[in-house]
Amino acid sequence: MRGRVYRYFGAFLLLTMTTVVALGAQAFDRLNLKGTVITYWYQHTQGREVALKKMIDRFNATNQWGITVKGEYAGGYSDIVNKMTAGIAGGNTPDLVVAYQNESAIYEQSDALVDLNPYVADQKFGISKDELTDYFPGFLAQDINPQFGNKRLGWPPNRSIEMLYYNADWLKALGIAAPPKTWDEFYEDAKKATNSAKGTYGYAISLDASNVFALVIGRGGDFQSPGGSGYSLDTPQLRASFAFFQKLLKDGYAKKIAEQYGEQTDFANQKVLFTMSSTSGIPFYDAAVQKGAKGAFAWSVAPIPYTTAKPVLDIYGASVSIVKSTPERQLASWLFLRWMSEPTQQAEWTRVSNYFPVRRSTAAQLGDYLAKNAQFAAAWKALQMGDQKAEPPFAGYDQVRDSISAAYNAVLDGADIDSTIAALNAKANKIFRETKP
Amino acid sequence: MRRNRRIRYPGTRHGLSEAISGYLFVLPAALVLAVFGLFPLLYNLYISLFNWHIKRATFIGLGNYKEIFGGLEPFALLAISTILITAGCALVGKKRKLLVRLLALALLACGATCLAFGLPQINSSGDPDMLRSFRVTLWYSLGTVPVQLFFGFLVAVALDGKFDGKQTFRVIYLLPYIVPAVATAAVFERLFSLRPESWANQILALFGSHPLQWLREYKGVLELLFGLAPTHGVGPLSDYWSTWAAGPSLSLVSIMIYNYWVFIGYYALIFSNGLAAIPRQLYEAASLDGARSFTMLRRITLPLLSPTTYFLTILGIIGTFKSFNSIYVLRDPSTGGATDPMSVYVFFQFFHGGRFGYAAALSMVLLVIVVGLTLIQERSMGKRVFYEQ
Amino acid sequence: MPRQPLPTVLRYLALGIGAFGALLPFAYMIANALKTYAETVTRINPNPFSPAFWPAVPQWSNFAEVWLGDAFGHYFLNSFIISLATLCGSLATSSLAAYAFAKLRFPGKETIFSIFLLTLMVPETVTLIPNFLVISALGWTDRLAGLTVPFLASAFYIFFLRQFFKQIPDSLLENARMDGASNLRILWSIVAPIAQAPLSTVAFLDIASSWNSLQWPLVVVQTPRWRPITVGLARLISEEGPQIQLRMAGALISLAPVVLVYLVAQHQIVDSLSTSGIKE
Repeated sequence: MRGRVYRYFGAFLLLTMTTVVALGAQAFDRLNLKGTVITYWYQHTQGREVALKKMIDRFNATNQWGITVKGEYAGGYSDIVNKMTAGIAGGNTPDLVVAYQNESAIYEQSDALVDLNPYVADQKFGISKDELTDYFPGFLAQDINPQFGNKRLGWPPNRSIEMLYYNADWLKALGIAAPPKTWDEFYEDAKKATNSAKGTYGYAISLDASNVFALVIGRGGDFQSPGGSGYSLDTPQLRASFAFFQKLLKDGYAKKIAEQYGEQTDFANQKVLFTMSSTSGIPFYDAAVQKGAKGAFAWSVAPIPYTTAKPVLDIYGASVSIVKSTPERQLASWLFLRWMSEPTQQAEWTRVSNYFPVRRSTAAQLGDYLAKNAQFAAAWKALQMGDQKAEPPFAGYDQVRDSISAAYNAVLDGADIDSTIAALNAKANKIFRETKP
Repeated sequence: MRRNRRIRYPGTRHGLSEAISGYLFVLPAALVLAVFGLFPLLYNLYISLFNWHIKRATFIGLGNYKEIFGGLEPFALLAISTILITAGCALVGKKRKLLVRLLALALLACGATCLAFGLPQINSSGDPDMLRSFRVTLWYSLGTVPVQLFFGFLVAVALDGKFDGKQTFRVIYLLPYIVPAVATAAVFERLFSLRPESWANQILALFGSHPLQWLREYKGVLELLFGLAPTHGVGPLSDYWSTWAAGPSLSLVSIMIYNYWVFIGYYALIFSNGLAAIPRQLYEAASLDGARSFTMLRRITLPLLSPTTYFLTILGIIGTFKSFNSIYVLRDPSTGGATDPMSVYVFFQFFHGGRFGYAAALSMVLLVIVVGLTLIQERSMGKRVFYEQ
Repeated sequence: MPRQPLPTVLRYLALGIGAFGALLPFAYMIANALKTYAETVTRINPNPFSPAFWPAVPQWSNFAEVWLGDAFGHYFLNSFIISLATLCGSLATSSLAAYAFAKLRFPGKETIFSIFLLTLMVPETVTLIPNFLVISALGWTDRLAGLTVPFLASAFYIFFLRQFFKQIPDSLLENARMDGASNLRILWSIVAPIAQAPLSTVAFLDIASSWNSLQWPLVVVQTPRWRPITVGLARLISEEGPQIQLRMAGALISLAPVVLVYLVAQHQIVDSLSTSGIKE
C-alpha cells in the first residue's frame, strides 16, 4: 500500500521536474519573434551614427528570426537620462537604451530593466562558457550590480580606458627611455620637463573622478567596499594619490587644467609632457598633434603608474540595457546585443568608433587597424597584459563623482588631506544610503 | 427724451456681460496654464509625500520634508523667525506710533535671533547641501538682479530717442540673449580660463593682481579679498554663519558676469518698452518750464517707468531663483556645490539620484521661498507703482 | 526722453563701449567657427587684435559641414513652423488675458492673476515629467501639438502686457464702448495698435525662446519628422569630442533667423513718437 503511494508520488515528482526543466529550457524557445520591431536609443552622432545605422540595416536584413531594429538618436548621455526617466514615468520607453551603470541603477530602482543573466546562460540563445572566456573579464563584471542582487543590467558594446598620454619625442630628448611605471619615475620625469622660462611643465592635472579612480586602483585600492555594501574612500591609496599630486603641484611640476580640453592644447603645443585621459580621446589628440601649430611629434599612451604587480586599468563605458516589455521584444533585443558583440561586428565598430572592443579575438580582424594606429595598439597591449577594474555601479554615483572632484580640488589648493578625505567618505556613504533602492 | 440704452450701470446686465467677457478672455490662457503650469505643481506636491522612484512609491507623508529640515525643532525655529520678522516689518512703518515701532523692532530682533539659531541647526540635522544651494541662489539673485536692472536701464536710456545706428545697437545688445547658451558658455569658459593670458586674468593684471582660478575657485570673494575664511570647530553658530561672511564664491561671480553679458540687453529691451510709453509731451512741457535732464529723469522718467521696473524686479527675482540653464552650462563640480543653486540641486536629485519624492519636496520648499519673496516685493514696491491715467 | 537729448558724444561713447563688450565674445565665436579642429586646440591667442587669434585660413567649409551634415533645411522648417504656431497662440492667449486683467472687471480677478503668477515660479525640472505624462496620455509625442501646446500661454507675457494695457486711459475705451464696440473689437482696433511695441517685444521674446528650446523637444521628439534645429545641432557634437568649431558654426547658423525676425519686428518697436492718442 505504502509502496504504491511512494511510486505514484515519485512519478508525479519526476513528471513535475521534467516539465519544469523542459519549460525552463524552452521558455525562450517558445517565443515567435517574426515581425518583432524593437527601438534602440543611442547617443552616437556623425560618423559613428552612420556606421551604426548601416550595421542595424545589415542585422535587419540578415537575421534569421525576422527581427527589425529601429535605431534612434536620443540626445547625449544626460539627455537620454532625461528622456528615459520621462519615458518610464509616461510609459513611453524604447527596448534598448544606452546607459552608464549608475544610470541603469536608477532605472532599475523602478524595476524597469531586464536581468540579462538568464539570457546569457540560456542553452540556445545565450553565450557558451567557452565564448565567454573570449571577453575581457573586467568588462563583463562591470554590469553586475550588487545593489540589485547581482543582476546583470546591461551588456557592453565597447569600452574605453583611462591612460597616460606622453610625448615620446620629448621623453627621448630628456634622456628618458620609457614612460614612467612608478610614481617616483613620474615625479622625476615631470621635474625634468618643467622649465618656467620656456613655460613647460610635467603634468596637467585632471580633476575627473575617473582619473582619481585610475590613480587609486593603480595602488591596489578601490572606491567601493567589498560586496558592494557602500563606498570606501578613506583609504591609504586615495591619501597617497592626493598627497602625491598636492606635492607635485606645490613643487611647480604640474598645473591644473586651465580650461576645458586645455590639457590637449598644452600637449599638442608641446607645453606639457604628460596628460591622463580616456582612450576615446586618441583621434582628437592625433588631429591636434598632427595638424597643430607647433608641428607633429611622436606620442603614445601607457598605463598609468602602478604599485601593484601588473598595471590595473580603469575601464569604463556605457552599456546597453534592455527595458522590460514583452518576452518577444526582450528576447529580440538580447539577440541584437549578442549579434553586436560578435567579432565581425566588434571589429567594424572599433574601426569607426575608436572605442575598444569587448572581445580579445577581435584583434585578429583588426591587424591593419592596429598597424596604422600606434596609440590604439599600445593601449591594446596594455589591456592584454593588465587587470581591469570598474567604478561603482551604484545609483547616485554621479553625485559622488562631483564630491570626489571637489575634494581633489580642495586638496590641490592646500586643504588638509586627512580631514578632506574623511568628510568625502562620509558624504559618499550618505549619498549611498539616500539613493539605495 | 429717450434714454440712451448704452449708458453703463454697474450691477446691471452690462456689468454681468463684462464679467462674462472677462472670464472668456482669460479662459484660453487659463486652460493651458492649468494643465501645463498648475498640474505639474500639484503633481509635484503629491509626489513630495512619497518615497518615489520614478514609478515605485511608498507613502511617507512629511518624511521628505523632515529630511530637509532635520526635524520639527529646526523647522519651527525657521517658521517662527519668519513670522516674527514679517510682523516686525509690517509694523515698522513711519506713520506708526513710537510704541508700536519699538515693538516692531523687538519682534525683528527676536526673529533674527531665531533665524541665527535655526539655520545652523538645519545645517547639522537637516540637509546641508540644500542650505548651501539656497545660499548660492540668494547670492546669485542679489548679485544679478540689481546690476542688470541698473545697466539695463542705462542702456535703455542711451538707446532712447532718434539717432543714427539705433537699431544696429539694439541688435548688438540683444545678440547675447539670442545665441544658445551652450555656445556662449563655451566661449566664456575660455575667457575665464586659469591661464595667465586669459582675458579675465589680463584684466586682473591691470589692477596688479595675480591670476585667479575663476570658475574653479570655490572660495568666496570676501574670503579672497579680506581673508574672511569660514571657521571650523569654533562653534556651530560661527562655523555656519562664517560661510555666509565669505561671500559668493569666485566661480559663482564668474557665472554672474556671464549672466550680465547675456541679460543686460534683455532688460534694456523691456525697459525700452516702458520708456516708449512715456509721452513726449511731458518732457516737452517740462523742458519749457526749464527743467534739466537729470530732474526730468527723476520726476518724470522713473515714476512713469515704475510699472516696468516693478515687473522686471519681480520677474527678475523669480527668474533668478528658478534659473537653471544659464548657470548649469558653466557649473563646475570641483567647486563642491558653490555653483549649484537650488534649481541645479533639485535637478541632480531628480535625475542623478532618482529621488523623485525628495526632489519634489525640495522644489516645494523653493516654491514657498519664491512666493514669499514675491509677496514681500509686492507689499513693498506694489504701492509705489504709478499707472498713468 | 528730454528735449535736450543726451550729449551725442556721451551717448555714442557709452553705447560704443557697451557694444564692444557685447560683441567681443562673438569675435571668439566667429574665429573659432572658421578654424580647423587642430587650430581650435593649438592656435589660441586671447587677443582679438593679434593675427594669432584668427584662423590661418578661414574654413568656410565648417558652415557647409554643419548644414550638409544633416537635413538642416528640414529642421529649419520645423523650427519655423513650431515657433510660428506657438507665437500665434501665445500672442492671442496673452493679449486676451492681459486685457481682461487690465481693463475688465470680474470677481476673483486678482486671485486668478496670482494663480497665473504661481505658474511662473515652477522650475523646468519640475514641469518636465508631468508635462510629458500629459502629452503622452494625449498621444502627442512626436507630433506638432506636443511641441507647441504647452507653450501657448505664459504668465510672463500676460503680466508684461497687463502692465502696458493698464496705462491706456479708460476714457479711450469708454468712447468706444459708447459707440457699441465689443471688448474684442476694442482690443483689436484700439488697444493693439497702441501697444505695438510691447506686442512686438512679446513676439520677439517668444520666438527666441521657441527657437532655442532644446530640452523639451529632445524628450518629446522621437523621429526626424518634427526634429527642430536645436536637436539637429546637438547631433553634430560628437559625444566624445570637443569639436568647438562645429558648435560655433552651428550656433551662428541658428542665430541668423532670430536676428532677421528681430530686424523685421523692430520696425514695430518704435519710439514714443507713435504713442498718439494717449494724451492730447
